Parts: sequence; structure tokens; C-alpha cells
Amino acid sequence: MEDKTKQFLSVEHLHVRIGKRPILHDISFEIQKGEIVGVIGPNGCGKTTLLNALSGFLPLEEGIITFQGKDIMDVEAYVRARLGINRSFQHAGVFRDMTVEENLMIAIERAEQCPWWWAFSSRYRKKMDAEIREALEDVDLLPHKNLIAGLLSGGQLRLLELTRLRLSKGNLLLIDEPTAGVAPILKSKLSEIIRKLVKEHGHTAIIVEHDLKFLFDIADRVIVLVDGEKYLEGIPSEIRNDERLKKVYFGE
Amino acid sequence: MGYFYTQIARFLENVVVETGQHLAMSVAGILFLGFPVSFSLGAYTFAILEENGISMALAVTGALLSSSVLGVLFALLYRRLSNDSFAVFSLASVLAFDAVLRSWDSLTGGVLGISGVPRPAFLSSFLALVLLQTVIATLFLLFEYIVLHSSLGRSLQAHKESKTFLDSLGVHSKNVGSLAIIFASFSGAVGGIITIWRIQFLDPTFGGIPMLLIMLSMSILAMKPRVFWMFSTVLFITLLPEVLRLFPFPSSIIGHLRLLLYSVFLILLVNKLSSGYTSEKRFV
Repeated sequence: MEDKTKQFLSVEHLHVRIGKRPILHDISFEIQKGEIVGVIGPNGCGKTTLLNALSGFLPLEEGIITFQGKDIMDVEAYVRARLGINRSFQHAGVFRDMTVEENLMIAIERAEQCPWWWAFSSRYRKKMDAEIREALEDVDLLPHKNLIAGLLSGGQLRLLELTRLRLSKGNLLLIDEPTAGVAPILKSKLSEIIRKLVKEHGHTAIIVEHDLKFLFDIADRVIVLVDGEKYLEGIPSEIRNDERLKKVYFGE
Repeated sequence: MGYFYTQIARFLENVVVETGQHLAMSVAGILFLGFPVSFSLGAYTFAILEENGISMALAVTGALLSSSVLGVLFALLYRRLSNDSFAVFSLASVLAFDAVLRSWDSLTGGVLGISGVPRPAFLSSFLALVLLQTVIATLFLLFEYIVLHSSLGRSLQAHKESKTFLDSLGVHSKNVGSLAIIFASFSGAVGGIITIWRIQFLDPTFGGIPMLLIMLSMSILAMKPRVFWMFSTVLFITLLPEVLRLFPFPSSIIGHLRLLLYSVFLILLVNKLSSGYTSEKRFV
């Protein structure tokens, strides 16, 4: 029997219920380090619920989740984040009343365990400024560094959130619909950022998406959920041409 | 000059109490309505210990400890209750504490209260008290400035917007909220002690609902995470009743009118001003 503790992430027989309504039923899969795994499926099939369960924001009815050999079933969300499971949210999990810079500061402070007084030390401030500057330059948000985040466009909010995700230095990134509400021209930028996160910075990613083209271009493997159950799993080229996928999205 | 110093003293006392409230309510978004209890508990603990022969230093320490413990209890409840339930519970604690003060007359003096509460020996004059209050208020303002520019300050601001997003970044939102509540209780106690040194008399009307009205107004108006904004708000709210001097009201009703003025102002603030004058989200 395969040793689940050697997998980067192992999910076994996951059942999630919200109230009396079952949302996810008997979901099992493994992820290796450095993979990009896409999760697709029709609306309401449980994709975001899966991310919520993995990140600790939803209790599980049943199942086992093992992350880097550690059982995280009873681990709270903020502890999972400290262990390296970082996520984005469907509606851009950015603090809209704080500036762009402050949004990134929160992530870096935690990731690098800066002392609480770091803002009063010129050494830490210079390092923080340089890191933020470099990160914002990458996504063309440097001119908006001191802008309140709530004034950014939808696409810019996504870029800010992904940048913050990168600076959180997590090992496993759960990315929820990164292209939702984003102009086509920005999608290639997002794709480039995610690829860089995994290939250059060594992260592993699970991406929930509706844009199949976007996802098939970057994912190493794809899981298809239908009605809360795992319907298909495979590499993008197999899934793309599978008649069952076409039936799910386009009907008979 | 006496009236002038009294107004300065009232302003400084409000600054001390509002520092804690500002961090908990305005910055962190926690509807913590139990701070009048900390204010009263601090003052009553000090007065009762003093009355029973405990030294000034120990009496102050006991007062601060009692309110801090109360803050920890509030924080424990905050971690278990929803935001709305916590707000209701903390408001109910004000009424419950008032009932305890009125009925436990062997300890608190009941409705007659405790008179002749002494000041420290080194505060021989009212001016000396005002100077001490200035030092304490300055320290609290400095503390708030440091907190707002630290990682805790950013976490408090983030806590107001979304505890879920904050948890997703590895920051325990409940710990952040708990710290804010404990400090609000502590600052309430300090405010209670320095106030009782000024008026040297305590009864169940000390703190309570009238104080809640004033401080709530300050916390809602001062919703920006800026020390200067909070300072200016406290000054404005403290001096607001001066407008009653423009009218020839009999002195016997001035106290009631003051309360009415603060109540109307709070209603106006909640309904009209909080969504209109600032880019911050509505607090209520």
C-alpha cells in the first residue's frame, strides 16, 4: 500500500456537508510537490468547497487530509496557513480599506516572522520596501503602491492577491478562479505569474477555474468534479478530448 | 481657571479611555460595549481598597488587575460568541454591573456611593493632577501610534474587514481581537482611576450608559486608524456640550440636556454620517 505520508498532499475519502446538505462526497486524490493541479466542474459542484475544506475554513464530516506527512484534519485555518497552505478567494481576498503596500506588508511580516517593531527599524524598512517594490513592479502595480486597494480594478485586485500569495511563501497555493472578471489581456499575465510561482519558486498549486483554455495551458493534471464527486482525473490533453467532459459542460 | 482645568482633565480622561476603544472598535471593528464596566470596576476597586487601608500603589495595582481580568473574561466570550451576540452580551454587562453596584451596598455604598476618595499624596493640587493626566494620556497616545504602525495594528485593521482573510494569512484573528478587548478594558480602568482622582466621589452613575453614549460617538466618528483623527474626535466630542451655553437653559437641567445632546448626536452619526463622510466602510 502506498505510503500516504510521502505524498505532498493526500486527500482520502473526503465528505463535506453544510448543514444537512452534502456538498462533497468521497473525494480522494494525491498531489506531488511542484504540480499544478486544476479543478474544474459545473457551477455548484463543490470546487470552492474543496478549497475551503483543504484550507480549514470548513469542517469535514469525514475523511483524511495529509499535508507533507502531517494529518491536518483538526488543524485550524490559521495554523494551516502557517504550515504553508495559502489561498486566494473567489472574490479577491484583499483588504480593500488598506493600501496596496499594507496588503503586502501583512503577508511579508508573517512569512518572514518580522518582529512587531520592524517598521521602526531602518534596516527592516529598507528590506521590506525593496521586496514590495520588486513584487509590485512584476505586476505593474508600483504606481498604485499607496492607493487604497478598494480603488483598484477587478483585474488589479487579482494581481495584488496573487502577489500577496507569492510573498506569503507558502508551499501549497489554493487559487480560486483567478481569471474571474479579468480582461483577456490580463489572463496571460496571470498565467505567467502562476507558472513562475510553481516552476521558479517551487510552490505547488491547486487551481479552481471555469476558463478551461487558461487551465489546460498551465495545469499538469486536472480533476473534474460533478455534483460533489470526482468524475474524471487525468492530464489536460486526455481530459480535453474526453467525451464525458463535453457532456458535463455542453450537455448531450 | 478651575473650569478650564476641569475641561482639560475631562478631555485627557476621555483620551485615555478612548485609546483602548479606538483600537478595539474603530480599528478592529469589534462592537465591545463593556468598557464602562472596566471604567467603573477600576474606580470602585481602587476606592474600596483605599477605604480598607490598602496602600495607594497596591490599590491602583488591584484596580488595574481587576479590570484586566475582566478584559480577559470578555475576550474569552468574544472568542466563543458571534459579533452580534458579543455586542449584546457586553451591553448587558453594563446593566448587570449597575445592578450589582446599586444592590451590594455593604461594599459599594449602594446608590449613595463612596465619597472622599483620596488622591495620591504627591497630587497636592488640581494642576498637578492635570499634569499627571497629561503624561498618562501622552503615553497612551504614543502607545497607540506605535501599535498602529506595527504588525499588530495592520492585523487589527485587517480584522475589521475580514477575519477569514486574516486567518488565511496565518494570523489568528481571535487572538488579535482578544488583545484589543483586553487593552480596551485596561485603558478603561486607567481612565476610571484618574477620573476618580479628580472628582473624588463614586456612585452607580459613574460610567454606565452615559459614558457608553459618549465613547460610542467617539469610536464611530474616529473610525480612521490615525492617532490625530482620534485625538481631534475626542476633543470635539468632549467640547460638544459647550454649545448648550449659547442657550439660557436652567442649570438644573443642563446635565440631562447634555445626555440628550450626546444621544441625538449618536443617532445622527449612526444614521447619516458614518456612510457619507469617509471612504471607510460603514461601521454600523
